[in-house]
Amino acid sequence: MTGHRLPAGGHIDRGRPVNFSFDGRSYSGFEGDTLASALIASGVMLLGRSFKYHRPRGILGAGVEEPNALVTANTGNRAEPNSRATDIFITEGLVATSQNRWPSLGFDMGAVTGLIAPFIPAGFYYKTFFGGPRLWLFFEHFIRRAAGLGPAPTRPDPDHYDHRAAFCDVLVVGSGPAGLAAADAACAAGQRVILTEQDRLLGGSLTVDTADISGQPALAWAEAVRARILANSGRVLTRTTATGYYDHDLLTLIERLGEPGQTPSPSTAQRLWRVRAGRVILAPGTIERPLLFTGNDRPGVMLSSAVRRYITRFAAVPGRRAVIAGCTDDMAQTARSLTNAGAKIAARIDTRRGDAILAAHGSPVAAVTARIAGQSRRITCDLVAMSGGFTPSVHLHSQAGGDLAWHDGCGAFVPAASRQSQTTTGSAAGLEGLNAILADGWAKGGGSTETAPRSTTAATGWHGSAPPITPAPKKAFIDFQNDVTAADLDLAWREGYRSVEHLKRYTTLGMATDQGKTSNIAGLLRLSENEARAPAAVGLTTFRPPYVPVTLGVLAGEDGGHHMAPRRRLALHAAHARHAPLWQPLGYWHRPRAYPRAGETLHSAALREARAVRTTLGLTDVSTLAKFDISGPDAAAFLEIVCATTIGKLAIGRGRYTFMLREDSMVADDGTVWRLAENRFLLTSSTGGADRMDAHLAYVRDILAPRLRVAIINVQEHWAAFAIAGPAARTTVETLTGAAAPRHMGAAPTNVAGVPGWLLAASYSGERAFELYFPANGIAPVWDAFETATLAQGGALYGLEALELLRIEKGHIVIGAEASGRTTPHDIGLSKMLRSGGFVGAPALGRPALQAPDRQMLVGLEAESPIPEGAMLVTAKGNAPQGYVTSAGSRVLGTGGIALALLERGMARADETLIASSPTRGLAVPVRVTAPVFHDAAGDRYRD
Amino acid sequence: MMPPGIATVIDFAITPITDRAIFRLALWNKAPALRIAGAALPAPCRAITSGDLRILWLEAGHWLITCPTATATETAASIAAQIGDNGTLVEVGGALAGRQLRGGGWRELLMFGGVFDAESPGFAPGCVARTVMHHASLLIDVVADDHVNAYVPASYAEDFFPFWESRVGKSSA
Repeated sequence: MTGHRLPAGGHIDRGRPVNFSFDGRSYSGFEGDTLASALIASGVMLLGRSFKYHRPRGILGAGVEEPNALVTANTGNRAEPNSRATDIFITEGLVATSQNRWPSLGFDMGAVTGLIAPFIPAGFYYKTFFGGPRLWLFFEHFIRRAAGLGPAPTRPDPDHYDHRAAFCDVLVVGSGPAGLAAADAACAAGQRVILTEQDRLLGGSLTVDTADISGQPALAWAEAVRARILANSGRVLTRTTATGYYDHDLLTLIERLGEPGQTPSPSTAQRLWRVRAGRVILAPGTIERPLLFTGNDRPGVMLSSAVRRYITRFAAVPGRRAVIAGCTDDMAQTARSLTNAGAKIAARIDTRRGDAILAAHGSPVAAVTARIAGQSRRITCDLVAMSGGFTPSVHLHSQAGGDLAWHDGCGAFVPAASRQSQTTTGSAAGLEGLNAILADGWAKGGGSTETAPRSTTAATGWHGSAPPITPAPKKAFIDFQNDVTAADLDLAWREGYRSVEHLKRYTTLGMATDQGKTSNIAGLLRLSENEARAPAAVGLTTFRPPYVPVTLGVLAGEDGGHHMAPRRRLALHAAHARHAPLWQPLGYWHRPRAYPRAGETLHSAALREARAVRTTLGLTDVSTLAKFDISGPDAAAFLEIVCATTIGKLAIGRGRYTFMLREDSMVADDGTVWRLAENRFLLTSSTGGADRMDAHLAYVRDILAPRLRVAIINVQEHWAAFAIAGPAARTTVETLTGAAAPRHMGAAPTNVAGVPGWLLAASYSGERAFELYFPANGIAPVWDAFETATLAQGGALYGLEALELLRIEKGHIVIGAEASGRTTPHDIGLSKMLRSGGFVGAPALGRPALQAPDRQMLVGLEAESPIPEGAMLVTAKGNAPQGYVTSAGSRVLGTGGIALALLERGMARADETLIASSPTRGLAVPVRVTAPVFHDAAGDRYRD
Repeated sequence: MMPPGIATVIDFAITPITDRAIFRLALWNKAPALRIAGAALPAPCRAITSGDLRILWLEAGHWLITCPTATATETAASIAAQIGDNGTLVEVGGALAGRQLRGGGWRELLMFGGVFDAESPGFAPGCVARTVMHHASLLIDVVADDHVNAYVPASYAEDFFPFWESRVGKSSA
């Protein structure tokens, strides 16, 4: 043995050395090493500092359960904090850094907190940080500084991630002997199988303990199973962890295509699989528990099975003089491995006989005090291999809604009844002995008992549970990562925290990044002892996804940066882009907000554009409006159910403003309806409500009026549209279409630049205006012609901001502001347009509460200065609000602020002076209540 | 802007579908024995080719019909005559942007960014499906083992198709 590395053995490639650094010092390992195994082989036992007391910590485990050995992998914007050294396979150039220490890992000033540990017990935060708001702000500064372990990167992550779906007949989680047998059997039955394994190698425990299966070495058998799965169009995913089990047998898997800190990163660093499985076979194995003794967290104190794994899997020996202590037969295998590796066994302490370790000394550990055969002894050692029993990994089973049952042999819970199509096999089901495990896995996969794979290797049991220890030893840790001791749990219990859920939150037991994988059962047993109740009666906290920490990058997948949300582009996007507009997200749509010229602000640009509409001509894109082609012999009857206004009497070639109610009679949306032919209508409604209206129309057709002969086709995207508005609109339209323009609210087919479309005479701005509809894939030349004509006449393109100024001045409502979802037609001045009944929402209009005179109703507001949008309306400072400003703007051609508002008793309060108060902005503006129309109330400017 | 390019899928080529007019056929009479260009309308989740027409089932009572742009006017008139008073035919070509995917890699391509089982052997030529992928509503028409046509709402096209284009010729990770 050279140092801590055995001269032979292990699943590492000695022909491929790998160089890496830890805390700035260079080391070398081999391909196949984890960071933990490579550091052990290099004699490094101190890897981190604990969260609360900054205690020196080494390596406890050998897998994803590791609570101590957390490092930051890589640097800069590719840094991945809180990575488990036990779960990073080293790659050339890996830079790993310890966390939660200053100035160095060996000398950490934060360790001073250990000296005041008696003063910061469980519930310290709750007992200390209270008082007035100012005091809390003071505390918060320090609490925030103390929170977290590794530093989160602050710049964008350059790595790439993606999401992939997969479907299978059988998903097997875990490739230990049970999982392999299950997958093999399912595959033999001709089923589509996905086998997932979080390790790099298949085999689970078979990668540690030598065995034969079906007459061949176990790992050769594992590879044969892999080949059979692949040959049967199945999939084998290594370095892939099942992190969540959701409804309808949907599981998420995280596949590491690159290791943390790997440079250069592979083209895809990690992949999130969404797997929908017909059946799920869970074979995740077990997680070993620590023993309870003073100093059980010191570097050099490790889980027994982890010690064995480092020796046999990685040929790295954590110590040369070991004390082995615990309560299971599995310890014997660790002792054998240590002996075979040339280490000396200083003592074997079997807690089942009443022996125990009382304390560990030194950092790293140099000795233990043990009670053996009733005598206290001090034993020199450099390694403690401990086993407090094994906990079946029931996380996924529980996430799937499965029940748990207490298993006395394991001293832990095992899966019981399932709620979905999952079953658990192997040691996770509490089974002992390789042949029993193989047989169960094979059977769960659908194989017959006679054909199950078998082993001639002698069976070894792993059942056992460490006995309770009272009173709690000092500095005996249960939750290593959050520094929760047995004494903390006892104190919390004495303070009245009897529910396991309360205990968890009060002490932070199991709330660290390891989610208590090594501590939850130990904590539960402690509570059970204190409560003098059976563990099953005490219960467990809830298992929630993810099973292991997941990077935010893989959750985002490809939907990062520019693609964080889809961007819906207008058919005329390029035409607008020529004028470099300010773009406004509107849902997923991006629309021009304004077209500012050099030196213009948003407001001044919008005002210029709006003034062009009032005085000359303006052109704006309205393509995003919802549009529905509604046809059929019963189309009019259908629309009279949908719309609250009269539709049936509409003449061909005519349109009208309309609105729709929800069944509770609140205004849902508004728009226009046009009769294009006897049995064909075009219905428009708001952009933001487009999908909602689509669903509503389908609901009315399919549920409320299934017998009507009507077809509804969503043509929102087919018809692109623009509006031309202003005193010159009519002549411009007639010039470019070569035909007389229809009168207000008239519709006519048209053709511009050889493109057929529809010309609708409708005004949203308060000026003479037309909307022109053309197929989205043909509208560009039409827009170009109108843009040229508009600009040639001194007009302007106008965006959403100008549109808003114009419509507020005209007093037009908008869905989401004035029609807030809580307003009836009466509230917003639409009641005169209502039919007597027969439409959705009509029955509920008669509810007494909707007739109350003190309801908030639409009014206008005017002021000398800008009115803050969203401000509450009060009679005097400090009084209760009586309404609020729904939309605010400024007069387009005049001066002063104007607004629309919802105010109690509405226009009954005309001419009253109120205060528009916005405390969050420090604004209080006197406003006068007016009619909600500030421009051309009679509509003379657009009527013929 | 291209999405964060991730190597993934092999063996496919992607080209825009530009020479096809698109119509939506909707019937308000539930089950007329209607034939379009001599063929019965396809059953749910199925598509057929009839002469120059490709007819895709969309939802109950609705089909999508594509035909060569050059003959769209005559085709529409002919179909409208066959529909009679049973339904309507509405042009929706401006609403959809289509791409033709050629090559055996289309199945794996469609597994990324979505929730649909394109790898199912049952999803064979003659099948159509609508699903959500990269946030967009996607219509998939399996024309042949190595050929699918895919359509998204036109407004999503410029953001959606680069996800696919970024994978062309790259190996599965």
